[in-house]
Amino acid sequence: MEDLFKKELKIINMGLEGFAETLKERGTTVLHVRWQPPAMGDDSLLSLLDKLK
Amino acid sequence: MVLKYHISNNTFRDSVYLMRLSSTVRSFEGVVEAEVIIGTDHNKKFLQAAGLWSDQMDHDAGANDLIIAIKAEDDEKAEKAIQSTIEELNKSVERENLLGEFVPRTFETALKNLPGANLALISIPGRHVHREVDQILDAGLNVMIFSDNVTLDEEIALKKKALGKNLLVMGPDCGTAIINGVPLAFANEVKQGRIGIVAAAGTGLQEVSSLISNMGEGISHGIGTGGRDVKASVGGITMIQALKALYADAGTEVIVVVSKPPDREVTEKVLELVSEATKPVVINFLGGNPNDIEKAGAVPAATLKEAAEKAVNLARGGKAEIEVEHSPDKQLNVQNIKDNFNESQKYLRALYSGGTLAYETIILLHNSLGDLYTNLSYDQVKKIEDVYKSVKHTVIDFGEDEFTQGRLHPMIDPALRNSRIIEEAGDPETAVIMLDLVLGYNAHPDPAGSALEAIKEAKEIAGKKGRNICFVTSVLGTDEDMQKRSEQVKKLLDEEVLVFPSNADAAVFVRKLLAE
Amino acid sequence: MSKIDQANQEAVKRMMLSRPVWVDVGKAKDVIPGMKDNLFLHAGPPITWDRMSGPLKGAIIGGIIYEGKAKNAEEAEKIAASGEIEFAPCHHFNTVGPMAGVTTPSQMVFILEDKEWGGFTYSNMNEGYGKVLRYGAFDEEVLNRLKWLDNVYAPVIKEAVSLAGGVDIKSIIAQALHMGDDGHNRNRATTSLFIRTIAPFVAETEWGKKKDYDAPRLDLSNVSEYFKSGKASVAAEVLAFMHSNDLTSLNAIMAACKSMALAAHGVENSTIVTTMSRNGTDFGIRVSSTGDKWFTAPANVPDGLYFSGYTAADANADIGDSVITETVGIGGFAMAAAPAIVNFIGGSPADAFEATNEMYEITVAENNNFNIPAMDFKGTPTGIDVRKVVEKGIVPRINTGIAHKEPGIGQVGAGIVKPPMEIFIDAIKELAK
Repeated sequence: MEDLFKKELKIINMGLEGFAETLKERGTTVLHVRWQPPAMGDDSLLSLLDKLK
Repeated sequence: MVLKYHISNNTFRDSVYLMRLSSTVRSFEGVVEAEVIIGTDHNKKFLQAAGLWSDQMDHDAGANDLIIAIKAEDDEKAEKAIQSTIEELNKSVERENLLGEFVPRTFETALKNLPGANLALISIPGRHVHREVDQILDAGLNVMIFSDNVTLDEEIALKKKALGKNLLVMGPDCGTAIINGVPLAFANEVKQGRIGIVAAAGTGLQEVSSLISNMGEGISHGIGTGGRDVKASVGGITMIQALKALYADAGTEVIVVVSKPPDREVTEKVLELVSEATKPVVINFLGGNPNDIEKAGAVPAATLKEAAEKAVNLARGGKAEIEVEHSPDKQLNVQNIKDNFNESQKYLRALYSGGTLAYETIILLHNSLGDLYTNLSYDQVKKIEDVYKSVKHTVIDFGEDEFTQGRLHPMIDPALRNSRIIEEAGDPETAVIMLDLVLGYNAHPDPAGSALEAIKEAKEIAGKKGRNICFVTSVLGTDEDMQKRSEQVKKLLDEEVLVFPSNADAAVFVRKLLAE
Repeated sequence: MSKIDQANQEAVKRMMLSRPVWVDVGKAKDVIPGMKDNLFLHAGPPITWDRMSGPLKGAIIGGIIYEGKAKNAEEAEKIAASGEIEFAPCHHFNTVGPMAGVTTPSQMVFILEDKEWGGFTYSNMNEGYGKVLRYGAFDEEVLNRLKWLDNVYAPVIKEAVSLAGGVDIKSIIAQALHMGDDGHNRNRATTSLFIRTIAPFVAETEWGKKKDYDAPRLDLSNVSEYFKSGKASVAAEVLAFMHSNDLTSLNAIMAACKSMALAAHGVENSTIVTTMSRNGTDFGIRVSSTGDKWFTAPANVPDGLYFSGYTAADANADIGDSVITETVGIGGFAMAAAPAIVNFIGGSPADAFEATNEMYEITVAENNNFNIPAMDFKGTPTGIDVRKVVEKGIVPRINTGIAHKEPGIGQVGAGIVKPPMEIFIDAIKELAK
């Protein structure tokens, strides 16, 4: 956590793309993730996948 | 009139994008009503209410699918609109590619491409947050969770995990933060400096940081904890981590804490930590008891403005015990304004986009304005029955869940509040309409301009019936914000709207106006 | 790293170490272990005659006539439906074939040897464009060309590769990716390198010096008027044919990819895809640790650009073993190396980068042999992990030719096709048991 205050902020943004856009305009290092619900939102698939971690 | 719909399976887009797209689709030729929306159960009800429903949708679309529902003048226009919408949907992907930017689809790939990442900003739907943040913490990043609808148990699990790894989880429901001078989510462009803030209240952090910056001092870091952090079950984990971090931060000389009154045990933990502090700590527990704060050796502040002023003074080497005035502009003739109300005009209608500001106003007014109703939860104030219908003195926070399901937050889209302004003008009992105008990143590009459209119409409606409504506002922000505070203020003053330097100032003025 | 992650790293490591070299040419029933009379191999997972689509049926009918078991289509169909001929996936015999992929006992096949892991893979000779067996055509022109390929072309290149001491196909693929090919749908560079490598030895073969032969002469007048005269040597004809057919090297490339995929198969706990294939009706995959089990579902119709006069209504469902290329990290996965391909399948060059970038999401490694100059020589996305496919909702990217659903008409377009997500979900369910 100490690192957070001392180093330059490098951000991964997941969700609202607007947040990444405004950060980019400002010159902050940010990578936007085009996020989608995992396993196509199917919870039973998700629990199978968790078994295969 | 024809209703047509199209389902795009396994398609996800963020909520802001979808609302903007819906708005675009409504402007297509011949379109009467339209929604582009994710097929969750909740949204299906919304479509039913909006008259954009067809029973087949229930079968065709689920929570992972996108529903394009369009009501148009005729079949051809509806079909054309659907095709244009699909084109628009595909456009966003193309634009990214042409920019030559690699857009990862998951955190794992993002991290491979930005291995030095130290913070993740999360605004995905709440029910998916826990799983994602769990792996993000595993990867060693700090996290800001803007999303709400994360369960309390999930919040506790994530914060405990983060604590164990010496990482910070800001949120859930954390709308504002400033780290190393970088404004995150809804935040303002403020000076960097020596005052650190820990806030369990988003607009609280915004108001305090803007006021401090406007006074010529600066912010080292503004850490949001999320509203539930100070509950006993969460134990103030993030607040305490933040305080310790600010203690250790060489760049921070004074600390400000803003929160609704924490649960007993958390207050004790926080105050114990504060009592060991080597830096002055100013605490505003929004309506809480100042005695315990003083006993712990911290500086109590009853309003956000007071917190800002005391912090600035302390940073400059001054004393904590200063008098902070919340007085109206002395040039304002309160009596004149009162005289301009006709007999029926008695009440305040306070319409807020910032939750903390609404809360602060309730604290400042509830003792003086007897019949006060609100949609917020505050022990000593009655809960309003119908949030869409004001009763006597009413304070409404438009950022609350009942307004934001399927809508953008009022700080981005003021349409709902604007309609309410006009409605209140039609009520003969409305004397004062109070508004907050919040500037900054990710907010509306012209809050004052937008509100003024409604205000002008409101004035006309009231004026026809011989009523003068007093419009009271405060503008939260700085001149470095893209909306430029001084220009926003000027716009309002030009239309004879009253503008106060802080929310507390505005509330105290309203008290003078209506309570005495 | 978890047990499965470790297994996957091992599987993809083996895949990338595989070193397929073209060493010989031979008759299918003589060189493919288990191949016999009355056994026809085809692309894709197992399928019965009644379920086969037009192009595959047409290719089988053509094969039956070619093998001399019937005089015409009517007779051939009866035989096909009777059960007299056994049908089996090429993949069951370490063989691969493009489009219908029908490989009959008498056909000549490339023989590739994996110089790292041992073992052989096979694929027959590519016929070129237009009316061809692999699109279900079987008229006299088609059958004559098949005879020329097996009786003139194959013996020449068999002699040539022997003189050459083998041709490193993996190296050709790596170079071609630096020349704008993707190894699946754009093969101009791979074929050019192929010809360049083998040509000196073709010129040296005994067979190549002949000017007359028993098999039907191939019409190469579209390559040059010179070939009308009948004075060309066999070597010249062979080289001219290769030049006229950008797909000359495709079958060898596919066999090389099969070799790499085989190397990754059979690793305990690994969730890496080691076979992807379609038979015109079903799409099937196999996974490293689930043995011979096929996971299948109905294949989709590709979406793309159609040649003049054709539309999506004419299209057959996805067909061919050529998706073995994507299985090992080239083809659609290396699309960023071949942006010109968008002229073929539609879209814009920016899409090429999007396609490749998306594939990094579902693969476990960056290929250490195949890389993409325009992406700073980043290795191609290699080793499809079924878990990632399901978790991220991203299926492997496949660019493909589109066949007419009626046999014998040929290619009607090209585009993108999505494998059905179902098969990856089925694989997960099996793995999680």
